[in-house]
Amino acid sequence: MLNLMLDYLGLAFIVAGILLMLAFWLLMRGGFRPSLRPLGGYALFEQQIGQAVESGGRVHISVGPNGIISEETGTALAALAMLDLTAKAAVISDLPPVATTGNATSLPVVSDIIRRAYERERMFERFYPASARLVALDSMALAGGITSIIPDEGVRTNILFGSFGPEVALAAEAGRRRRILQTLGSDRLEAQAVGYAMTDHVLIGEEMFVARAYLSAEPTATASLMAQDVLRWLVIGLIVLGALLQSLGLLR
Amino acid sequence: MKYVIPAAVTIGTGVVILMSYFWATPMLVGIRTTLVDWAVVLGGLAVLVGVLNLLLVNARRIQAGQRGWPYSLITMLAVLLTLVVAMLEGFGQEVTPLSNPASTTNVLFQGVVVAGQATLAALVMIFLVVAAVRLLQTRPGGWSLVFVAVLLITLVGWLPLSTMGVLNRFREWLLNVPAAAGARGILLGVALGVLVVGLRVLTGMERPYKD
Repeated sequence: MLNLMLDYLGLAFIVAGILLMLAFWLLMRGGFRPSLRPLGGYALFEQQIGQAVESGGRVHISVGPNGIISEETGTALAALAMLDLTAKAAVISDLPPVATTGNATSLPVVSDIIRRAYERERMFERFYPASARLVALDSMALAGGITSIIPDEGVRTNILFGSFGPEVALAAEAGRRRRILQTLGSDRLEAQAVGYAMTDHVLIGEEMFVARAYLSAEPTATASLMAQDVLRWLVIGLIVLGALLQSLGLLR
Repeated sequence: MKYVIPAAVTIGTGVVILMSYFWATPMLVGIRTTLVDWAVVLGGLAVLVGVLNLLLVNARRIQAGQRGWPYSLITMLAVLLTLVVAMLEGFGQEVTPLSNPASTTNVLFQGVVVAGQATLAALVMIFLVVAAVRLLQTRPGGWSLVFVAVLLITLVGWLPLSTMGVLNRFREWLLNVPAAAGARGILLGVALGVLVVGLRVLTGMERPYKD
């Protein structure tokens, strides 16, 4: 009975999410423009990429050890959205950006996103197929591999976005030694703690999933962010309600 | 039309898979199983593409004589050697060589991959402690102090010394109450983020295949 109730609660959340996204999208089409709270990781994004481009350096982005056929697909899609935005900003650099992954299923998509970024800017002849790289099939080896890419390939900006664990400290340390700007977004708590100590900007919790809302002018992205905020308050309300009912002995 | 068909396939597949979790009818579960099987086959092919990518990237590094090219050469030789050994050992066998403790593939895996990972994991611990201490220099402030203090209390609290009973209890409280509460809050946020990204794909708002 409880399982069935939870199933329907989950379904209600999904339906509510879709309706909220639609409602906010319609509001935005009507001219509504919400103000977003500043997030360090996104506020300095353009400056971070700009510095790398102007100094003739390379931008490195890792989409992590997560694949697009796993439980971490949501994180992988968020990382791919960030890659899309990064590639779009970095293609004008003399040195092509480098995107690394630790999962083979992400590799074709990573390569395709970079290729399309060059196509959009009408610079396809400058597309370098080896920009997308499968470094390893394991998160520890991926982090170890990034430590050699950063010094060997003149990386000036390091963006780590994916299901990284504490091993991301290896990659972050390599960036710190080169004194380059680094941003970390992970869905894992251990990596977020590492990012707080070792990188310039760390995205905590759901912040890594809202890159498009902050870095592009897409109304659908902002609508999704607002729907996410409303859902968060809904969850908080349910938690408080559950605690109250439990305290009053009404929930068994 | 270029994006309508991929979008229709993505949305249709997503809806069917999602429905099969809420209404587990034999037909929906059958479709889900077939689609998941296809995904597994594609995943296997992706690994082959990934290995080719690894070889290509390292071959270009060697060809261009880039900094650290000898490491690329070692990587390529290691990949090819492991591939050949695993294929020879696995030929005609019912079980994979990796699950046979006496196989060379297993010895290579345990002796190189596992040992290498253990070494890197040990390095991670050292980097983290150094980074935490360095944090006080680079970003001096109240939060950095709290971060380092909690780290030290947690690390020292693990020591099994009878004289540190109070510290051990404090560490337990720290992990079970404020840390667990904060962690759950962050994880709820992550779960909501994942849900919204999924919904964006399901509604066609997020299209990784679109220009």
